[in-house]
Amino acid sequence: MLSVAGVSKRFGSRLVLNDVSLEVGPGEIVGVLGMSGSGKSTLANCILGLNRPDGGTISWRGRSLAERSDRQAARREIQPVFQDPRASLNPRWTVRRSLCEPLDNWFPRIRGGEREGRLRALLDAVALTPDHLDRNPHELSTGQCQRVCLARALAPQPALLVLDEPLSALDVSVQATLLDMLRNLQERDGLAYLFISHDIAVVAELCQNVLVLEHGCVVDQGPVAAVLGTPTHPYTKSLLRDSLAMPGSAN
Amino acid sequence: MAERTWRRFTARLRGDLIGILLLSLALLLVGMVLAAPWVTVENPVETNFSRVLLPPGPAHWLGTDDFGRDVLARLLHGGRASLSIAVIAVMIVMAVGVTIGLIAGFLGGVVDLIVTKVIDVLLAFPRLVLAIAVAALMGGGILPLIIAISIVAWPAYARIIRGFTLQIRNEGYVLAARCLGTPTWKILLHHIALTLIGPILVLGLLDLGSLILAVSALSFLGLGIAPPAPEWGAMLNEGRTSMDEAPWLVLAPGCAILIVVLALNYFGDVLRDGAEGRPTHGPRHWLRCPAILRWDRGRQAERTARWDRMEQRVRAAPLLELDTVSVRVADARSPYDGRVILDQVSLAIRPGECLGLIGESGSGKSTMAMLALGLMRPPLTFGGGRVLVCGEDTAAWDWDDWQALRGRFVSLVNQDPLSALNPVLPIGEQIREVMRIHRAIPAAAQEERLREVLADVDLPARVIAQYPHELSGGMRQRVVIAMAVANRPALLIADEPTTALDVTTQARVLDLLLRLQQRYGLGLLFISHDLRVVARVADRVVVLREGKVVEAGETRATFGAPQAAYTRVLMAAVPGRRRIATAGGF
Repeated sequence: MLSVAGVSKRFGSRLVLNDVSLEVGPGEIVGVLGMSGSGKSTLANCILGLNRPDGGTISWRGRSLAERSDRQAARREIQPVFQDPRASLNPRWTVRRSLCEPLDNWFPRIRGGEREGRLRALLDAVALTPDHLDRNPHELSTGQCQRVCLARALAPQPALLVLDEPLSALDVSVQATLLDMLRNLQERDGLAYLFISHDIAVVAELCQNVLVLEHGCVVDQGPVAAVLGTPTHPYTKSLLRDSLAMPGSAN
Repeated sequence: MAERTWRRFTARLRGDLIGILLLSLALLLVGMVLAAPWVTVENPVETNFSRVLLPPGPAHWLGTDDFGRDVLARLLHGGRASLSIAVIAVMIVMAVGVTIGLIAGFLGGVVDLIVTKVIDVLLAFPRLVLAIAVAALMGGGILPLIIAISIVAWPAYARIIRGFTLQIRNEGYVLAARCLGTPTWKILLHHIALTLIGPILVLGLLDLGSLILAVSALSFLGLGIAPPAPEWGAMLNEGRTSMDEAPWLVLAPGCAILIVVLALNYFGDVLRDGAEGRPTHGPRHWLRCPAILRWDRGRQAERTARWDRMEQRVRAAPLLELDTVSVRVADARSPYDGRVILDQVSLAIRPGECLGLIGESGSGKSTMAMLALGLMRPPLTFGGGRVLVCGEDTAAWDWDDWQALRGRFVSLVNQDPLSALNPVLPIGEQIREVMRIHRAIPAAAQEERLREVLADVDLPARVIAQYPHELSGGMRQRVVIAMAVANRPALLIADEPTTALDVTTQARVLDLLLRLQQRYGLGLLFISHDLRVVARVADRVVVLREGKVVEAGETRATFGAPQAAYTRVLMAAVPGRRRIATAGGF
């Protein structure tokens, strides 16, 4: 479905992405693991069309995203969830207005009761109630904000969600709720995820395939069980060594 | 939004006597100015030499001028000119400034470069001097006056709006809107311009005051409205010659300008505060005279004696002890008024021990850090209990008492190293500052200590001359840690110190904290929501939920056999527990 082939990107003299290739099939969850500065957010932005890659091609359902007409069509199907949920919602907009933005962009003909129904369904998918519709982001917890962001990303009925560190700003217990929610949504709608994170534990729990980025290069790639279960690459090993063990299970 | 702002505005005004007085005076004045022909029957320009320079009285409330014209009539009719010119100018300025600022900020590149340069050039001239020059070139009158004022005032707007736009352009919600397929013009209008409307209006209101001043100043210089038509600035000028015998000629327009400008500034400020999402609370002592002016021998002696007592006790007594401490919100304006943040919390940190504090957002864990630093500010207030630092009761301590301790006895490492560091000072200077504040040590010893602490946190000596933005997140956090331990404190508060860091850096920083703890014999209060992090560093843990301690004990025992149901919930929530164990990774 999504195919990234040999993409590179530089900012000034710094090569941020170097010949990165990956594939995401329908309903597949691909994890991208990397430390800060490894280029994982740049990769996300390139796929989302926020940055233009300097080399390589990104194609969606076989059509290159470099083409303007194809990009517009793909835009609806590829939706982002960013790291900081508070910054991702217009602080002056109510939840309703934030959720209506994509609906109005893509389904302008849906009005009135039908639109309300859509809103309800979106809120339902992320376990929020209609009471939340008229609140402003500062009246919600960070976890609720992230759920609104998720609902907003679901509104255009995408096929792929690019999740850029969606859990990093959240408490551990809230992370768990959101992880379950992501898993359920994926099962329900057959969504594909590109899940970007530095937290190995989360990637291991959610993803089927994983890609390890170091300084913009893919150093390790494959099914989660193989890459993280029996690590062979020294960088992957060092990552695993540094991740924190569960209290209680360590001893 | 508008309703909310209005509610805050009225709430703020209630009980603000000066505000009400000012508002009613200004409204009265503006109302009379608008209704000038009905308020006074006098003709503002008709000369009558039979009543020259009459003092204020029942017939002429504000007296008459040297042509025998009624001052009140001139004041009210003149106000129409002054105010309407200023209002028109403000609207022109806002329209031009906002449009140019938005376009420059959003498009960037060459457009931005050119606009910025033009703005820089215009701003380089003093506003009034430039306005005088322009008005003089165009030769007086209402239209040149408006043009002159607009030309000098728009760059400031454009610059501010450009700055806002640049900032908002990269906000998550604008990026999200682009991904959501919102067209550019809609983003500019809905997300950026309408977001800025509050600040723009406030800016306009504040600027209206200075434009009225500018109009008056130019008219005073004879560059505005041609006499004999009245205008406040021109009236000041006319009255100047007979100021000694007829002070009312100057006082009347002067007071009118004063009231209107003062009221505009005051309400601009009130409105701005109202437009900012929530009430802001500065620390209680944000504006203080320097300690040297308030030198109080008795208190100083007491402080020294206390410090000596604490030095003696520092190895034995708990460094920080909370004894059934309660904290709640006390602010009638806050929606959280009365909410309990900490509920009878008791804990103690002994020297050389790491106490892990686990809690989710809103559990009160950061309030705990603020307590330990004496930084609790309104709307939070004590609801009871005692906070003991090294055996000393802190109930009666004032800001300076705490100030003597912060950075020396107790220091803080918080979540965001970027906000903890001053972006415009080199690292070395920031660490030196911490040392300099607390003790007078020779420069050589200070340099030596500087290198020593940097070595302690594994940073190379070159960072001394570097600025925060040149360092990575992990390095910045090390700098903050170096600052925290520079004075060899006894107690270190680490509030989510690794949350913003990735796993590798997190592991290194945790190791570093543990090493420093042993090296300096620090008592460490380690606050985090992540039990994995706490489990790695803490000797004992306290689990906090909604301000209550739900579990406390040895780390190993607590996580091995958690007693409270909540602890078990937290443990079950840790990601990766289910899958990676079967994958055989850990």
